Amino acid sequence: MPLPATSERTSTIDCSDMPVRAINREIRAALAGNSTKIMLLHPGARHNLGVALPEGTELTIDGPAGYYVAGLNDGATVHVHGGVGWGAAESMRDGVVTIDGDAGNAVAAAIRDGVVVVRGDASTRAGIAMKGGVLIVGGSVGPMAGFMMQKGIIIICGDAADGVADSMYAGTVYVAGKLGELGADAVVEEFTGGDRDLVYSHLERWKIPAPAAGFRKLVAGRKLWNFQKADRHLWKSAL
Amino acid sequence: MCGIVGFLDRLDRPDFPTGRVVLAMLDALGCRGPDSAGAALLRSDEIDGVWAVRIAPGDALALTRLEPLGVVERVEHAAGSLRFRFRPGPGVTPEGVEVALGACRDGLEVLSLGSRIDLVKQVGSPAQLDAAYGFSAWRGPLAIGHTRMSTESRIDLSHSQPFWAHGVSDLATVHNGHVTNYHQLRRRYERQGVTFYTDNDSEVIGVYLRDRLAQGRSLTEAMADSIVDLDGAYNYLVASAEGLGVVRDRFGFKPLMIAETDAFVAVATEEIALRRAFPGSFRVLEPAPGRALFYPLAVTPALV
Amino acid sequence: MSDSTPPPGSAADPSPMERSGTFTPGVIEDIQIKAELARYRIRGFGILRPRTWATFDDLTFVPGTLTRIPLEGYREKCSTKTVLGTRFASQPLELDIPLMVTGMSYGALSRNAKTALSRGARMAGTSTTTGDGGMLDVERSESRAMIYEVLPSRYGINVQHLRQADAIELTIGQGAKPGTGGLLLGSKVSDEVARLRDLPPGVDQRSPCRHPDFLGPDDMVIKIEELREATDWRIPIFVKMGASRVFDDVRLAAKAGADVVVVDGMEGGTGASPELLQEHTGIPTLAAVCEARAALEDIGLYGKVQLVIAGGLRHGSDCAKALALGADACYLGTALLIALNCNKPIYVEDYHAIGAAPYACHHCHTGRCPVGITTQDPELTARLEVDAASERVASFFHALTSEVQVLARACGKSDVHHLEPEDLRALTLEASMITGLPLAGTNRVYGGGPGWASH
Repeated sequence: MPLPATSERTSTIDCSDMPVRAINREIRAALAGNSTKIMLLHPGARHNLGVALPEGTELTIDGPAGYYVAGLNDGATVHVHGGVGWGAAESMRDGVVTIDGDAGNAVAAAIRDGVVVVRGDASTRAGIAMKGGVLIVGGSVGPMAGFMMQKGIIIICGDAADGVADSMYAGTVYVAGKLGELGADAVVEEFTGGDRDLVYSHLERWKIPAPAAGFRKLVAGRKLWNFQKADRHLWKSAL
Repeated sequence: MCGIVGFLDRLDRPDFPTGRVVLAMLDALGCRGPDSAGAALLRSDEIDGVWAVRIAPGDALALTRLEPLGVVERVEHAAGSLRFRFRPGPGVTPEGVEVALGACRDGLEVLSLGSRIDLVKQVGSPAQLDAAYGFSAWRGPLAIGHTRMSTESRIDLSHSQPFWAHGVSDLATVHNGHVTNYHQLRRRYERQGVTFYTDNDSEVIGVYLRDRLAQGRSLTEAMADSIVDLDGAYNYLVASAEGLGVVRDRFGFKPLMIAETDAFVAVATEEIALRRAFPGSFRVLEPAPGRALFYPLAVTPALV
Repeated sequence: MSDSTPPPGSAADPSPMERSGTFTPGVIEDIQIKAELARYRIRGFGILRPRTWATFDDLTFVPGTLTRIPLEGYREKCSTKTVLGTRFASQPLELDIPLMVTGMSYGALSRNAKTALSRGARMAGTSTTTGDGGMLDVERSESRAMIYEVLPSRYGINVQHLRQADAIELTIGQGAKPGTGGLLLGSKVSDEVARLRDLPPGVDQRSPCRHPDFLGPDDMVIKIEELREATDWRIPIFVKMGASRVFDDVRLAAKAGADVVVVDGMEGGTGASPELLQEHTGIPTLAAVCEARAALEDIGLYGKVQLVIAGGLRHGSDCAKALALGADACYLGTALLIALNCNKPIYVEDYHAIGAAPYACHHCHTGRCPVGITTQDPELTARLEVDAASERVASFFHALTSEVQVLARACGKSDVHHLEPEDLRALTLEASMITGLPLAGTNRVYGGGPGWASH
């Protein structure tokens, strides 16, 4: 995607020789100076860029970011023009985080609301412990996507490796590509017209090419909600 | 718990600054492991019929004990270690050299032995490693490096990494994570007469590979076997005369990123190390858990 | 669920001559319950079996007599001021006393109990901690100093609450059950608790044992930096762990950048957990404090990284001994619940109805707490009257503080933080071996302390 044009209200920070603490301080200073658009150049996969940013902030990171980029997001819009490390957007309260490249382990971990878009592939445990919000992966995801998910939706346009939708309390995982071994208590449910409207409106909204194959819908079988002796075999693999 | 890095040159460039990029990667991972740093490098030139050996501490007197086994040549001292060439007599094994030198726990250690490998490590930062050994000037097609945050064992030279796979020429490993069935494995190998030189669980990886090789498995097969037999959380890298090995535990507990281009393969615990060491744009991937990858020298990688 | 330990003596009682010392009536009942249950047993409270290991009770203070001069109680003040988080935070946590409220969740506890703990702690000049369920508004408004826990489950994590915190506690585990996550049975997952945790109401909630986005101390370095960046390096970061491989774990937490390390011993409590974890995992609190201090000394950070000790601390002498052995502050949990009314002989028939009895209740997991503390049932929670309960919390903190002070003064200290190991003697060989303190009546140390220095 082309970088947005630099306007007068955009503050540009060249991260080349800066420690993370100084970069985040400059971001805060720019916000205090009434810039709402901030551009980071040469991020070099540094960790903890743009954490806990307030609503109204528009941060563009022109290159790869490390761990926890846009972590604890408080409503900001963050665009990463590259890949990201572990825990991108973790525990986001609200906001939008778009990642042009690939995402490391635990992207969108425990987010409560907002949208995370990964245009490339996501590694292990994508959307682990999600408590709401939407995670969209244009490519494939590694093992254990949606592990212990509680609410929200995950849309996977590529393949999902083993353990997808493992031990979810609730929430929905949509997968278009190949399904690995399903996680404990994951069940395939009918993909309805309502699901179709929801999934494809997200793909259109975030300009993700619709996959050739149709989507499967995975939800919690709810057998792990409360212990039942009759399900002890299921629990043996879950506990 | 540490940072690990690996590099493999695919263009056979004798002047490529391998030492410098490995140090740059280690430096970028400094916060993961402040306790010690080390690296193993494969030199381009093979010395026929001669072993290059590095021992620490640099006890020149110990070399007299090798006289019955062969010829010691070109002894060089560097930062408390000592490197020399050894022309073994008929039937002399790497293990025989270690025994003759008196290598044992808390005493003298053979850091590396082989026709191409050289290995240095010490307590302190990557910058200190460079200051002591001038590692940034080292050249060669393949290297692995390590920066350590000690967890359950001591901080000293011999507990630092890489570990030479004692007894196997030109084989060394670096490891990030922990092996949770280490004591069980160690006791099994000790019953078979294997000597352990440290209390570091990472040492068992080299011992394991050596055992599998002795049973006729290839290195790539041995690496694949280890995913079942070594429990816990680990990524480890293997430097051998054949190429660079990369192994991830079955759960993918520890981070690892690989950049693969036409010119090189670079592996590091975090992407930040790859971006710091290599300019230009290239894709960086996290390999799937439970995989052993092997990148042969100057050949495309094979998936095991 | 019928998941409680049977009252003692309820089993058939044959002649003692015919009883097995291995398969005791309790064991027989336990096996038969599990044969019905098909899983491990779950209960709350903490370890129940008799303490046969060395504890703080195996130490005694040696107050000033002729060699040293004790302080008077009236005019010769003994400071209790406590500062935590002096390493990196620009605003360390300043408390009037070295005793704090440990993390206990809304969910495990009722809203009234959380409110009373917050208000009582404020009245006593100390802090409260959120727990595995997010921050209640009333908890924040009633607290003077609020420690915000970031737990593996991330239930209720809200960056806007994080910013209101006076310290952050990154929790790795707890003393009652190191290596496993929290547990909240469906009977306590009320609509309100479910809403705050984003769970379906009524589910048996099992928290993960690990954080979702970091694994191991090397990745934790980056996580700690994230929390600091989110709060602009203003407030301290605590790292809390259950006492397990304490020496190594404490060194790693400090190396990873913690301002304060919290070590929670085996005697620590829990709202619900597999029973066998409470009984068979972890290191006792006395041993934990010794190992933790040795660990910080080993890496040269003792006095720079503060140490908070938790796990079954009951009275001033426990706390004073922990301080003398190296702690900077003590967390209290179960003792405060007891101050609230836990196990008090009131509503006795309701104890009996859940198979428990006053002084022997460990049924926090059922959500049927007769005194309204560990329950979400509106009728039961109403039994804990907030104003009176807050008073009891404040008074108990004052009582404990005065106990710590009286011991410190007796040892000639004008500051409770001046207590040192040499103010103590061991009463048993085992305590001498663990602490490195001389056995009373000898000048010899039997065992030489935590013994980790050879590492």
